[in-house]
Amino acid sequence: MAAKQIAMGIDLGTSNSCVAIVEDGQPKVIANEWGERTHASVVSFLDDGGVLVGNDAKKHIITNPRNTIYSAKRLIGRYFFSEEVKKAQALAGYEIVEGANNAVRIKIREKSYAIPEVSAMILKEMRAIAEAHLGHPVTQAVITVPAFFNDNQRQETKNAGRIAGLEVLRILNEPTAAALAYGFGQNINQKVVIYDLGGGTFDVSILQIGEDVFEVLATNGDTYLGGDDFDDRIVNWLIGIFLEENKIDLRKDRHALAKIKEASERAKIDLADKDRTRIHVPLLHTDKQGFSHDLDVELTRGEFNKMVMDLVQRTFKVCDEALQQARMTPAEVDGVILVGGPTRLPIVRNSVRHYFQREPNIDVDPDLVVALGAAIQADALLDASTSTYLLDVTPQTLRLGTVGEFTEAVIDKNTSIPIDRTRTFVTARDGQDKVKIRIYQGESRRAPECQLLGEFEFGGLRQARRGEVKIEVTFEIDTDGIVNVSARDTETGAKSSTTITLSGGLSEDDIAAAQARTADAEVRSR
Amino acid sequence: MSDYTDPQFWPQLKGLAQSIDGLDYFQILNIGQDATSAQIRDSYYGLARALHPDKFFHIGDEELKASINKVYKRVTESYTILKDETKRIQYLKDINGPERTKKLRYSEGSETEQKEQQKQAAKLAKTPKGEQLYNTALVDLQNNRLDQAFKNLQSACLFEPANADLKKLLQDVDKRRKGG
Repeated sequence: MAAKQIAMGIDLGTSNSCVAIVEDGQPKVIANEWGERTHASVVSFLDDGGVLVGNDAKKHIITNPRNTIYSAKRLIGRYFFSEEVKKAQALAGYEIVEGANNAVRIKIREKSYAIPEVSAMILKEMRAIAEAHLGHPVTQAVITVPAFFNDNQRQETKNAGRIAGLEVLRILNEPTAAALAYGFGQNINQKVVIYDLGGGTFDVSILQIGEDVFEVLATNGDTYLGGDDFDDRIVNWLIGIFLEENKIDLRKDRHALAKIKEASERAKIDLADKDRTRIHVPLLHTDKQGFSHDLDVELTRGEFNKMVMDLVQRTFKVCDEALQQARMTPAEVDGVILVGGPTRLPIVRNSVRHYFQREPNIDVDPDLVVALGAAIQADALLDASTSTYLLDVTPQTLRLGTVGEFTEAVIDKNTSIPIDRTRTFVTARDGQDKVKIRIYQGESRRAPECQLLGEFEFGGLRQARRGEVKIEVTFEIDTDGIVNVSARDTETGAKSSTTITLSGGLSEDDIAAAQARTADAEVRSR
Repeated sequence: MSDYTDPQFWPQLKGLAQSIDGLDYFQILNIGQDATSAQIRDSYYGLARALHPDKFFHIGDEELKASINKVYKRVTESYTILKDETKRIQYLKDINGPERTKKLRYSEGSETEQKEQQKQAAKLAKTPKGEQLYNTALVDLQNNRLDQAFKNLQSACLFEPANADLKKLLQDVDKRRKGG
C-alpha cells in the first residue's frame, strides 16, 4: 500500500498564519526550521525581486513600508468602494488601487497584485513549511475563514489556494475548526461556545457536540472587530500624547505611524501578563528644524482596559444574538473555548468568565487550535473511515433583489448547509430571451444595506408569449458556504446559460494568469 | 448501520436521488408526523452519519457524489423546516391538504411576500404626484439610469419633504450613481 496521503490544515489569519497535519492519528502544528509555529501574514517585496513571507517580512513593515503588505485578509473579497478598503487606504503604508470591476489591487513597484495573489504567497509559505517537515510534496489543504465571511470572501480565499497550486478540499469556518480540535476523540455530549477574537475579526459559534457529530446551532460575527482595533486604541492614545507634548501630528508621518503601531502591539501583548509596560520609541520623528523626538511613556493595564472596554462589550452583543438564535441562555452552555491571540488579555478573559458565568477552557493554545481543527478535517476528508461529521450553517441570509431596491430572503442565516432552495421566475414580455437577477447577503430588506454578491443573467430562453416561460432558479449553498446559482426552463427542463455579469472576484482567466506569475516568483523565508 | 460507501449500495442511493422529489420531509427523515424535536434531531444525526457528502469525498464516482449531494441537501432541508415549530405546522397543513404533491417542498409563499413588498413599495410615496415620480424612478432604476432616477426621486421629495423613506432611497441612489 502506498504511503497515506497527507493534506494540510491552514489557518490563514489576518495577523498570523499556522499550518498543521495529522500524523500517527494526532493533529500537530508544524514549526519552521527556526522553531516558529505561527507566522506573520506579511509579504514583503525586496529590492532584488525576491519575496519574503512570515515573521521576517514583518520587520520590513517599518523599514520598507511601501513594499510590505500586512492584514491583506481585511481586504479579501471586498469591493474597492467598501468602508474597509477606505480605512485600510488611510492606514496602510502600501498603495491600494482600484482594479477592473471595482476590485481591490495592491500596487508594488508598478506591478499590481490582486488580494488572493498576496494570500497565495502566504499559503505557499505554509505549504513549504509542511513539505520541509514531511520531505515530500503536499498539494491538498483545508483552509479556514472567519465564520461570518460572506460568499465573495470565501470564493476569493479558495481562489488564493488555487493560485498557490493547492487543491482546496474545504473552506472551513474557524470556530468550527476550533470545536473540532476541542471535541475530537472525546466522545462528549455538550453545548459549547467558541469565542474567537482574531487579529481582524470576531466570531462566535454555538455548537452541539454529540460524540462524532458537530452541529453548529448558530453563528454570528463582526468582520470589523479584532486585535488590530485594540492596537489602534493605543496608537491613538500615543498620537494624542505626542501632539500635546510636541505639537506635532504623527498622522502625517507614515514611517512614525508604522513604528507606533508596532510598539502598540507589543505593549498590548506585554499587558497580557504584566500590570504595566513602558512604551519607548527612540527617534520617532524628526521635525523641520532637524530635532529628533522620542516617545517614552508608561501604560498600565487599568488604563488600557478603559481604552478597549467598549470593544470587548461589543463582542457580547454579538454573543447575545447568537444565543438568542440558538434559543439558549449563557447558563445553558457546557463549555467556552477561547480562540485567537487577543483572548489572552485578562480583560477579555475576565469579561468572558463574567458573561458565561464559567471558567473558559484553556487546554488548547488559542493561537494553534484553528489549524489543528483544520488538519483533523483534512485528514477526515481523505480517510475512508471518516468518523467526524460537521453540520455547519450559513452565517448570513441569502437574498434576492426585487423591485425598488428591496430584497427578499431565499435562505435564512443559521440554516444548515449544504442546502438548496428554488424560486420560479416568469417572463414579463413577449419574446423575452433573458432573465437577470441580483443576489445579496445580509440582514436588511433594503438592498443597499446588504452585500451585493453578484448579478446573474440567464440567457437563451425559448421564444414565447409573456408569462409562458417559467424559469426555475436554484440557489445552492455548498459545504464550503459558497453560493452556486443555476437555472432551467421548468417546462422543457433545458438548462439556461448563466453569465455572471457583476462580481468583485477573479475570473478563471485571472486565476490562470496569477498561477503562472506565482509559480515564477521566488519566495524566500529568510 | 449499513456502510453506504460500499459499492453494493450505490444503485440504491442513485435511485433514491431520482425518487426523492416524491417524498415529504417526514418520509425523508423516516419519522412519523407526530415526531418530537428530539426524534427529528436524532434522525438528522443518524442520516448525517450515513450520508454526509464528506463520507463520500474520496470516492471517484461523480454520479454517485451528485446523487449523495442531492439526497443530503434534502435531508438538511427537511431538518431545517421541521425543527421550526411554526414552519412545521404550516407544512403539515400543506402535505395533508389537497395540493400535497405540489407542496412537498416547503415554500415561504414567496408570491404573497413579493406582492406585499410591491404594495409596501407603492405605499412608500404618499401623494399622487409623488407616487407617479417614484414609479418612474423605479423603472429608471431597473434600467440602470441612475441619474434620471435620482432626478425623479428628488422631485418626488419636493412633493413629500417629510417622507424619510423616500429621502433614504434618494441618498442610496445618489451614493450608487457616484460609484458607491
